Amino acid sequence: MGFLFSKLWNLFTNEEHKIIIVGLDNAGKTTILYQFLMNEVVHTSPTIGSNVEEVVWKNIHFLMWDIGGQESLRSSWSTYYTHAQFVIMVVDSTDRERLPIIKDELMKLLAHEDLQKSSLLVFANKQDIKNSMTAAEISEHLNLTAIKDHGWHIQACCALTGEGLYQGLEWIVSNLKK
Amino acid sequence: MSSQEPTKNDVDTILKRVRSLASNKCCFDCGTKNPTWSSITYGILICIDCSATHRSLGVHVSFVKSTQLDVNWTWLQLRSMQVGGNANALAFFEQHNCTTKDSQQKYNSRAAQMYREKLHQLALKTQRTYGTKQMIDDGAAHPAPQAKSETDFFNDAVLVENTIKPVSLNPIKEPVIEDKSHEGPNVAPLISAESVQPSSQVKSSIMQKKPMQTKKKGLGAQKVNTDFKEIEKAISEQERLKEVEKQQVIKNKEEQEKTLEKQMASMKLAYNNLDKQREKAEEKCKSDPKKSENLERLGMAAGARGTGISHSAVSDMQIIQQDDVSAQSKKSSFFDDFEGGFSSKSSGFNSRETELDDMFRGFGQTTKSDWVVVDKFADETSNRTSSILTLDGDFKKASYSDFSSKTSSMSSSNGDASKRFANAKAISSEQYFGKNQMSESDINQGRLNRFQGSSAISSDDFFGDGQAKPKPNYNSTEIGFMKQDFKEGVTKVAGKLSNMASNVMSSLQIVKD
Repeated sequence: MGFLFSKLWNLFTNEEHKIIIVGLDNAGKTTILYQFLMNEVVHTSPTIGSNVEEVVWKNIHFLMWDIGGQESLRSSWSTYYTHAQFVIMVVDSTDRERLPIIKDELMKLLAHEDLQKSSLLVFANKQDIKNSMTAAEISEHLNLTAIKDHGWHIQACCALTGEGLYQGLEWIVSNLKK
Repeated sequence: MSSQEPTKNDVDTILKRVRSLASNKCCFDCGTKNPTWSSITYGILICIDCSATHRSLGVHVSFVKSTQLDVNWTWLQLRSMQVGGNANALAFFEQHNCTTKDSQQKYNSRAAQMYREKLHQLALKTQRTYGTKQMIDDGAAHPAPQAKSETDFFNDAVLVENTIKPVSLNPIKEPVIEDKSHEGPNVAPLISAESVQPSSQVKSSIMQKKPMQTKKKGLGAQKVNTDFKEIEKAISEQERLKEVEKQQVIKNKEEQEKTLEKQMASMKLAYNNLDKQREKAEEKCKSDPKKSENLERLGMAAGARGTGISHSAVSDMQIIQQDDVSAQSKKSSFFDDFEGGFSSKSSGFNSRETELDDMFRGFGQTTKSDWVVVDKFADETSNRTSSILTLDGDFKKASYSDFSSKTSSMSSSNGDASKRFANAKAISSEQYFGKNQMSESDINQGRLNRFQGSSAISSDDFFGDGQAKPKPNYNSTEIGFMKQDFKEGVTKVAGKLSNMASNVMSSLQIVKD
């Protein structure tokens, strides 16, 4: 009974779930954030620092932090980690050359002590572009299958059309309930 | 490429030098002062606003990096910035008549593509000559003159032409440049010739009149007494005439200038037309690789459109075509793999699984055409999973059905579950790791295979966490809500029941009393 009530409680109190969106520069983090927020594509310029928005979906409140992906900004990612329940890693599926860098960043990120309890959602963005890598390809390159201490999910998407984004969010919601 | 990465110091000094070049002091696209972002693909410096548009073009068209926020540059990228520069890019774009302000057009144009390749080659070349010697020394001390002399060297538009020749991969490019240079000068002679002619005419007319005047003055001196008034009249008349003539001359000049302008304009228009034609042709070619192939094979491209341009267009086509080919071949090979995976193994799956397998294969085929299909598919599958799960209790089957439930029809038999996630849009760890099966290490590879081509994988899939099994099935909160409704109902009923009970108790007590 107590469990049920706590679930009820969770649903009706507007608890905010902190999500951080990271990824290399020009992966589409800001576009995804505003696609979630407004369902439209905004014209973005490189994020210096971060954007934060409250996204409400199916009556669940998310506090989404979109953090700039430029190299020198990446060192500041860790300052955003505290209490982040989910990490969304956005990957430019057309950018094959920088996959090793993404992998490095990902490993660094998951090893961080503040993120030990958080789950990872990888968005394989820019699927609309010809010759983009599939989710499976990316998961292989990033060696996601080696990650066992975090729940993870990789989702192909296209931030411009919004395709796949809500499937990713759906996964987040389904994991929230655990 | 040198194996060694440039040190921070190298990057800083080189970028500083690049930024300090006078031509790089303004944004390449909009002219904003002191741009700090760069498009490495073109070796240009741009402002942050323009970097946004560049980023939206995609990394294959323009790769944007900040000269301040990005610190890990490769030597090749640095070379590209050194060898490039706004001045060179501008010269090249102008040479190729790409003056549009629209960045979509500009950077998807043929000129842009040519410049991209050219710059890349140039960067590679400088990399080869300097990079292998570990430019670190050069980068810090010597290179200042070296690199600068290079950039200065290329700053000169004329020299750029010269340098293209040794560098350009395909000699076909040359005629293009030559053509342009011919057409360019052609305009100038036209102008100069015609502008000279009228002026000479004017002079002559004046010259004719001036002697007349002097003659008459001479006459007047002799015949002062005789008929001064008449002379005066004559002179004044002549002066009038002169003025009229002058005006006419001016008018003539103006007219000639106008006509000249018109000619110029028409020249430009002709140029534009040429450009447009070329672009159209290119588009056609692009849209139809076969056509371009044919054109190339038949050597027709140039003839149809005049000028040597189309030659290069065809060469260009080649490249695009290759892309296509590689893409296709890639796809096909992918699907080959995929099919191969099916036939490779079989064993303990019941008939149902094989059926699913078949469906799945069909799914693979459908994805070839469109990914929207996949999407719908994923939706539906996620809804279905729960029911199947409860039925079978076998997670492997369930996740398998994930990817096969929607697809229809089909043929053959033996299937391998390892490929079950191929082409799915999403894979999650729960799906991937079938915790039911024990020895993970053995199976991991197989697991990975089964996600081939799927568009999403998650850890639960991957590890197949037994506990997690039901969880993905609350894929929507609606179920949650239903539950809550139910619970609310139950609690209400319970409350009523307890009320009734207390009523009964109290009535019993009353009875007792």
